[in-house]
Amino acid sequence: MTSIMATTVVVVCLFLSCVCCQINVWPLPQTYSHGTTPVSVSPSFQFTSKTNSHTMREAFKRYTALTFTRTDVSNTKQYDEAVLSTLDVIITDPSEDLQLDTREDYTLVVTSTSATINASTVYAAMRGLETFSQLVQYNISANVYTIQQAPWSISDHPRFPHRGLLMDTSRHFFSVHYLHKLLDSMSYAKMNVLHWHIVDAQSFPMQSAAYPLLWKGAWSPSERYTTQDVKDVVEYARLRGIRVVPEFDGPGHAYAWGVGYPSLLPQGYNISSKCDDTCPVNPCNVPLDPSNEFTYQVLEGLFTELTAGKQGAGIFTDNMFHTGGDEIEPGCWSGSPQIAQFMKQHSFTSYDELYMYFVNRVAGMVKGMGRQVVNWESTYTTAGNTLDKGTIVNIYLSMDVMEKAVGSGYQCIVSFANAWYLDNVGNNWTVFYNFNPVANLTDPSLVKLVLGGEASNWGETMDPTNLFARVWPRAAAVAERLWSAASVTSLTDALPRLHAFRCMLIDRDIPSAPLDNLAGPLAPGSCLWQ
Amino acid sequence: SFASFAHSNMVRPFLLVLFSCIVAVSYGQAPIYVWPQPQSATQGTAISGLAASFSMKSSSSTPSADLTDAFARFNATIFDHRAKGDASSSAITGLLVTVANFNVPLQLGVDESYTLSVPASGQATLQANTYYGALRGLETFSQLIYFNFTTSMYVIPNTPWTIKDAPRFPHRGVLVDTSRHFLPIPMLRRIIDSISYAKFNVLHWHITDIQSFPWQSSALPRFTMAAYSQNERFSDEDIQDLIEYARKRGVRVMMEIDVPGHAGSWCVGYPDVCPSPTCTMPLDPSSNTTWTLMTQLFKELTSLAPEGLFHLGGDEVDMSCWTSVARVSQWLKSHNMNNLDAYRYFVEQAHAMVGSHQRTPVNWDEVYANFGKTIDPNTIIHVWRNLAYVQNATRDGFRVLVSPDGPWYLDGLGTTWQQMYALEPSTGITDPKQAALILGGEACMWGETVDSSVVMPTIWPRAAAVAERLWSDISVNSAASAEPRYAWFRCLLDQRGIEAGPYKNTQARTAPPGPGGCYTQ
Repeated sequence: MTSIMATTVVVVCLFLSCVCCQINVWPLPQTYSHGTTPVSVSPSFQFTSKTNSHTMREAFKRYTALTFTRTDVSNTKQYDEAVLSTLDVIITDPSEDLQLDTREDYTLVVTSTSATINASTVYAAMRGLETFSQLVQYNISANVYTIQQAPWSISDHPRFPHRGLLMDTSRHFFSVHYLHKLLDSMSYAKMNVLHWHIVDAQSFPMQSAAYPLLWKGAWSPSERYTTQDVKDVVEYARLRGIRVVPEFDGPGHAYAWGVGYPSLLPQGYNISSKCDDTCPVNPCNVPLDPSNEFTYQVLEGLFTELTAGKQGAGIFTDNMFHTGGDEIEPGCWSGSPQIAQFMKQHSFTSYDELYMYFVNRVAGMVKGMGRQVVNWESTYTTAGNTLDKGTIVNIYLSMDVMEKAVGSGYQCIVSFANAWYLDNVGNNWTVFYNFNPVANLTDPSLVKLVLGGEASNWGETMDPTNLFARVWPRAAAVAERLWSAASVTSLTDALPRLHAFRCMLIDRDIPSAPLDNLAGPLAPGSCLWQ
Repeated sequence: SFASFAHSNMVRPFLLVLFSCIVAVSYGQAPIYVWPQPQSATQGTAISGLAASFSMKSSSSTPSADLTDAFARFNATIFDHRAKGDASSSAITGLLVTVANFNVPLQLGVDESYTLSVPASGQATLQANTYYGALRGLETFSQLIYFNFTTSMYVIPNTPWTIKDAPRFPHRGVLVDTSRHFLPIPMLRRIIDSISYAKFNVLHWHITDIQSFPWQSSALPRFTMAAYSQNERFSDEDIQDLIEYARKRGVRVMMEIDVPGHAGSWCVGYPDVCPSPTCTMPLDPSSNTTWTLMTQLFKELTSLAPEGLFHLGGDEVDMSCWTSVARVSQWLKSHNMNNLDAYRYFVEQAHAMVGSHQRTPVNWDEVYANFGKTIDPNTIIHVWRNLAYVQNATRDGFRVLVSPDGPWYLDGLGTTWQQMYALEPSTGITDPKQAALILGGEACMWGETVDSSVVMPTIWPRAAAVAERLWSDISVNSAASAEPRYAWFRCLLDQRGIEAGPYKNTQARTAPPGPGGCYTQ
């Protein structure tokens, strides 16, 4: 029975901590100050703005629902003087184009009688609304919404422009429902990029009008995305200020392409002893056949369908287009006489040259469609500084490679496997939090080439069952590392705030895992300490 | 043809059946992909598309708000892709729903039968005696519809369909525990959504226990001091709203206040209901506050919850504190009671209290085991320890609910769905009159190691096995035959945003072992 009494003591402390000593906003704003006055929020509270765009109105609708989950709040003021009835949003730049350089800086001021967000863009305003929503608390005893410690003055902006989550929909399928919910949850942590690893060796779930047999490589007929589904995801993301960077990994990780179009895969791969094609089990990395013109026809046709061939157009409107380029198994090429002949014609003496032939040709194709190419670091490690300078290098294996690449002027995105791979289930949030992507860079001009990073949610052992517990709360650690000031590094300071953020995720119906045990709680307890 | 759809080295026979169910013009003996299995169904060989103008309509001239809302819900659930309508003359043009009586309240035994007819073309019809029967029919209808990705149309294979259906047991529940871990309202709503997909009709809400007391009672505000935190609490409005949310989905919410054991959290706010600060349970019969609190608590909760059954717990009563705390033992002596008498006194007082609000008491089987036929014969005995109590209690004329620890306890992560499916509540009972006293049962999601992050895959898909046992005919009992349909239902749950775990994993809620499709893992 002593355990019950101990619980009581803890509960009392938590109640106090809610009203006095910390800012429960995740990720931590760049600068903030607050007072000591509690403010009640009026039951008829409204978001207002002179910017009357669909995007803005949708954001207001969302944040009204997220912030004020109860509709029957009392009219009784809890505090005598202060009742907040509006938050006014002022936007400087009305452009709603969403790209890497879209500004996200905002200020939020809450006094006892007024609240204002001054934001550079509508997307910056959403970051401010998210912060505001995290300041509002429901007081169940009085049945009122309150903001503690007013007046607030917050001035905020992200440290890095690219704050992403990689989502793998090939190893397991996730219906649009989950992608929408994932995008919702990302916006709560101010993440702004969905790196959509749509296709891999194991399945090809996406419709293509140009090559309608491609989605024969899906797990089953119902585990597929129509073109309309994909468009819906991209627009759903945009409405939350989230860019969608599609990835079509090649030439490796491509087995599923060959289900509908077998000639995309190298001749004889299935009889070559040097080709590990034990699909659908990993590695299953049968690469595309780079010697076959048809391969480039399919890529050109598919990419044209997805980009409409020009900047800002098509289904995926983001300027970045990820073409993978990792983990080639040249053994799967070695059984093909056609590839041997092709290499001879081009005087290639190594498979690396063949690999780079493919990489360069695809890069040229994608650049021609008004997109900037993103590659996994493997293409840079293979080609070195001969890799097209416009390529963004997505680091996952080696931070030394990153230092070399930025030293040579390449832009980088950091998804360092040892720290930021969510499928490393043995790494708890502190591993993610402790990693600094620019730790060894001193020259500010080089730091600037690091666009940001991504938490990578590889799907081999992840399906709808454990998606959200895989991602949260650990991705929140990455989100804070990429948003908040470089000086925000203390695990001790972060811990109660992360617990509060996890509770908020749960309240918002995102099934985030306990901090101390990814697989579920080990004993009874509260989200505030488990 | 989809016969060659799957990766060539991964032929999955049942999937091929399923695919042909979606695309083939005809087939003969395929299983009926509805969960739980209807009581009777006939099917044809046509495949019918839904017309662009397809809609669900009520045949009643006076609109029912419940049914209108239900149509909106089912439309949102079914139509999860943007589709083209079938423009051919053989399209299904609508579903006409006829409810004989909209004014039947949702209580134990409410008529849930329905008849669903889907012709090969034209208008489908659904007939039910009550709104709640119509809901079951709508669920079945929703499960007959597939999205054809190739044609971008919604289709119903195997038309014409005639399905006549009704549940085997009237009480088909899932227990949730919001004391060991708090489950917020959005999650409880989603649990209610999900259980309605399997035609469960009861949420047994074990709202408080030793670890926390999350209910912010307006009459007794100190109870909630034992909540885990400020935010981990339910207001009276939360409870009322959730009950109404459940009612609209045909789910009764049966509240449980467990007395006199499992009540240690009460003494955080009201220390004088416990024998002593270090010996907190069971509740102290010598304290007037105990009886006042129980009276007020049951009064308030019955005013919030219209459900006719009220669960009073009564399990695991360790009476040693009554012996060791002098004040209690002296009180017992002066009232000429021993510990067991006091336990009985608690049970009887609680029965009288809820009885005064016209509620039927439900107790865990300890109450029957200890007091047998001497307690109120109207009491429903909730059996969890041993199926022999089902046999004995029904022989003594009690009505029973069945939730055997082991087979139907979802927190047993090693319990497989086949084990859940195999449990027959009427085992050992031959007299039909005795069997009729089995009202049904519940899958129990105890919360010690379950919070929001894992509750769905701990419940699903295994609870579906219990749902089918309680709904379908007693002869539907082969897990091997059910497996492809079970896998299909798991994928349906996933599609609808319910995180149902991989069905082949023998340990619940574990990650998939490797890449795979939902039908095969």
